[in-house]
Amino acid sequence: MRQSFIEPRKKKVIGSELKWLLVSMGVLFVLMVLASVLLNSVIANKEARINTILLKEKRLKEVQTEHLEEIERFKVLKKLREDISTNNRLKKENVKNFFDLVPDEVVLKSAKLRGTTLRLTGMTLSKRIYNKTFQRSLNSLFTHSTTHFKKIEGGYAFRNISVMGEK
Amino acid sequence: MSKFASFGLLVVLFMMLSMVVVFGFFFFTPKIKSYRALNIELELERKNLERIEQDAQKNSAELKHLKERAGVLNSALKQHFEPDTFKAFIAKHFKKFSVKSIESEHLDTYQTDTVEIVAYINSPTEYYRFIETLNSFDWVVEVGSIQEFLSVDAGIETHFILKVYTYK
Repeated sequence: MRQSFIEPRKKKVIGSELKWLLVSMGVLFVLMVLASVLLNSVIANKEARINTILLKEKRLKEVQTEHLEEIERFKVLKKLREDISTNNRLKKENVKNFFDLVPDEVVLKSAKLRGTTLRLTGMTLSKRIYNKTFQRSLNSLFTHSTTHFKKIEGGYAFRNISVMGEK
Repeated sequence: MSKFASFGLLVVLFMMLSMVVVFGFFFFTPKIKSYRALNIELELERKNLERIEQDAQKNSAELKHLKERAGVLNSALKQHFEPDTFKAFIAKHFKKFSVKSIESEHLDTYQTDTVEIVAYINSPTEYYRFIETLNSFDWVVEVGSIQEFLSVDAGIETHFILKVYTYK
């Protein structure tokens, strides 16, 4: 006795559609796991690169600090040398300018420059020429300049003190 | 397809979707955010490193230049003050001279040796030349504030003070 129009077939727990879906799910899961592994490795790689850069930056900064300290030291050194050279040249120029000022009518016996004070001793043939030439130059260079004369044979001996200071 | 199979298919589809959403929301989104943040940080750090490298190169070049210019000076300051060497230098410039005294003083970084000299010259030009030579001398020497010139039979007796700088 036949009661069905179709041939009986073996029933499966998981149908072909469900099987396909489960396989898809599995593939999707595997893909997700792979993607996460890949992403994690990319992130780790980026972090490692950042750490390398930071380490390099740290080393460079340390070297920079050393270099800057040395540069500062050299600059101080250079400035010291320049200041000293300038001062030396200035002192030389002061002496040179002073000697250039001495007229032929004045004979110097001594010139003592101590800081801002100049002490001179010497001889001149005429007080008038001295005052007109040398004293005028001294007055223009120094704030205070006084000269004492003493009559000697053939002229005058003089003693001058000139001070350079704030007026 | 039976009703049961269709329902099962829907459940599986829903599960798949949920899995994608949950995975994406709780795992992928923060990871991608972190990846983007790291990318930005990497770019910033790269630029920062570039800037530091440029600065380092600039400083290195400046240091090299300064070393070249101040190297001689630096080595001169490192030397200890030797009175005999200094006297030999002075002897080259004056026909006759004598060293009256040498005093040492310790400053913060430097040591100064003050040398009092009496020298004989024929004209002040010799003294000017000596100071110019002093400026190009390896040692750091400063002319003191005392400069005296006295007319004597042999020419001019000059009395001056020199301060020699060396490292402590």
